Amino acid sequence: MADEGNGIIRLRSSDGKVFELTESAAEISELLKDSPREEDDEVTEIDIVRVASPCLEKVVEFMKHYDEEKMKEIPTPLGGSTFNEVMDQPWYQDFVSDEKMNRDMLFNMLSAANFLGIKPLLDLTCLKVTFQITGKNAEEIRELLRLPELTPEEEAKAREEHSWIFEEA
Amino acid sequence: MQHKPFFIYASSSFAMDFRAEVLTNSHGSHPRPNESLRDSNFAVNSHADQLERCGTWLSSIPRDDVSVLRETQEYSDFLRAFERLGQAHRRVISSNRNSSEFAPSYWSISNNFLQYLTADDVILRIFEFLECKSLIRMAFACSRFRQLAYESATQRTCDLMSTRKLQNVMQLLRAKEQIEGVESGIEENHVRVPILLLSRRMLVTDAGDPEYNGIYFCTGCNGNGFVFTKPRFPEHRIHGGGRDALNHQSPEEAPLGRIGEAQVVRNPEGEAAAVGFAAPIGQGRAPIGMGPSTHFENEVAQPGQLLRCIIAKRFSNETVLWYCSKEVASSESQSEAVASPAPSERITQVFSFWAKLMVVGDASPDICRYPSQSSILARHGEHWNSLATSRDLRSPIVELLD
Repeated sequence: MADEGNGIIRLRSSDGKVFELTESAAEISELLKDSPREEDDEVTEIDIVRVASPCLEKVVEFMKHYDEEKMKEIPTPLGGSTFNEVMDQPWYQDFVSDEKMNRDMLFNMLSAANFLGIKPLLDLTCLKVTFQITGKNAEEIRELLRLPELTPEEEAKAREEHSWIFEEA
Repeated sequence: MQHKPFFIYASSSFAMDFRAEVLTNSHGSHPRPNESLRDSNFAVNSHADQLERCGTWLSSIPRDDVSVLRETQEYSDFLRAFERLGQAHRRVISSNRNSSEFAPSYWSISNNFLQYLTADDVILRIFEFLECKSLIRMAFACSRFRQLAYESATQRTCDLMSTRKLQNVMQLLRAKEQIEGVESGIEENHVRVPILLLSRRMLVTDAGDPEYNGIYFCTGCNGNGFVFTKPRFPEHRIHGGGRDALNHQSPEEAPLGRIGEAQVVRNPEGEAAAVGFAAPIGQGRAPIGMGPSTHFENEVAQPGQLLRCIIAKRFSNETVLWYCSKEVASSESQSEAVASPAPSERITQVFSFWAKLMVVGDASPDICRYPSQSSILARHGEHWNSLATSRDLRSPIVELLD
C-alpha cells in the first residue's frame, strides 16, 4: 500500500493527455480526495472528462504549487482596491496575470475549479474576474462576459430601483 | 506498478450539479425550444426509477464485495442511469429558465460567460467580492445576474438584517403602535422599535495620526448618543477566531456606565472590561462607560473585519465630551479584568483626541447631535485636543459634510 499522501495521481484530460501529481497535492481537490482508489495502488489514474488538457495542465500546476505554498484566504470585504493589493503572493498574482491567462482560459479555470472542488483556485479566479468587471458599466460587463441583454421592462425597473445610488448604469 | 483507471463520477452535490450542467454545454445541446417540459419531467422520472432500482439492488450487496461489484451489469446500469438523470435534470432546469425567465436572445449568444459558469454558487462567490455599486451594475447586465445580485446582497446582509430590521410588516405595525401608545400595557406583546441613524457624514482631516483622517458614518448609538465610525487602514483587521469569536458591539455602543478611568478590552464573548487609561490633557478624567449593551448584540464581527476609528461621546467625571479613538487588536495576555477562559483576541480601544460638546445656540439641536465641528468650537476659542497619551499628535479638524 502506498504511504499516506505519497501515492501518485494521474489525471487524464478530455483530450487524453495525462498529468501527474502527488496524492498530497491532489488533496486540495474535494473531488479527487473523494475519488475511489485501490489501497494497494501506487498510481491511480483518473479521467477528468470535463476538462481539456490546456486547462488541466494549469490546474495541476496550481495544485502542485499550493502544496508547497498555501494561498492566503481572501477576506471580505476585500482588503484592497486592486487585484495585487488583495492577493499579495507573487506566484498567485503571476498565475492569473493577463499575460499568462487569457479570458477564455480564466473562465475555463473557474469551471474546472468548481468541478474539481478546488476552493483556493476558485477563489483566486473569482477574484480575478471580480477585478475585471469592477468599475465597468452594464454594457461593458455584457460585452466582457458576452451576456444577453435585459429586456427594456427589466432595465427600466432596475433603473427605478437603483436611482438612489447612481445614474450612469 | 498497478494502473487502474477510474472515471470521476460526481461524488458531491456541487459536482452533481456541475456535471449535469456541463454535460449539456460540452455537447452543445442547449435545450431545444420544441422540447417540452413534460418530456423532460418524464425523462427524469424514468431515470430516477431506474436509478432507484439499481441503487436498491446495489445497496443489498455486502461492502466487502465492492471490487466484484464494479464488474456487474447492475453497477454499469447504475452509472448510466445516473448520467442520464443528470442530463434530464439539466433539461428540466433549462426548460424552466427558457420558458419563464430568459429572453430568446439568451440562447442565441454563443460562448457566453453563463456557459462557463452554470453553477449559481460560483457567480455568487464572484458577487461576494463586489462592492454595492459594482453589484448593482451586475444586476443591470442580464436577468440571471439581476436575480443573483439580489441573492448575494441578501446573503451578505443577513446578520445586519436580523438585528437592525424588523422581520415583517406586522412587527413594524406593532412598533408604530408602541410609538403611538396603542396597547402599551405591561402584559402586551412588544417589539424593538427600529431607528434610522443620522445621515450626514463627518470629515476628519489634519490629524497627527493619519489613520483618523477620513470620512465617518453614523453607524450605531449608545446611551450617550450616536456613534460615528470608519474602518482603519485595510491591513488592520480582526484575525483568527471563529464566526462567533467577537461581538460586534463596541464599547462605545454600550450604555452609560461608571467604571472609572478605563481603557476598553473586548474579549471573545464581546464583554467589555476596563484596564488603565491615561488622563486627557486639561481634563482630570478619561472617558468611561462600559457594560453589556442591548444594542445590536447579535451582530458578530467576522475574522478579517476591519478595525475601526470611532468618534463617540463619553463621560469624563461629570462632563460629557466627544472622543476620537481607534480599535487595536492585541495578542497580549488577557487582563485579569477579562474573565474568560476562552482564547481571545483583545481589542483595545486607544483614545487620542477629545473635544467639548457644541453649544446649542452656536449650532441647531439637530447639528449638535453630531461630533463637535472645529469651525463652531473656534467661535469660543475651543478646538479638538490631544490626550496625554497622544500629546505629540496634531489635533484633527472635524467638520460636517453634506
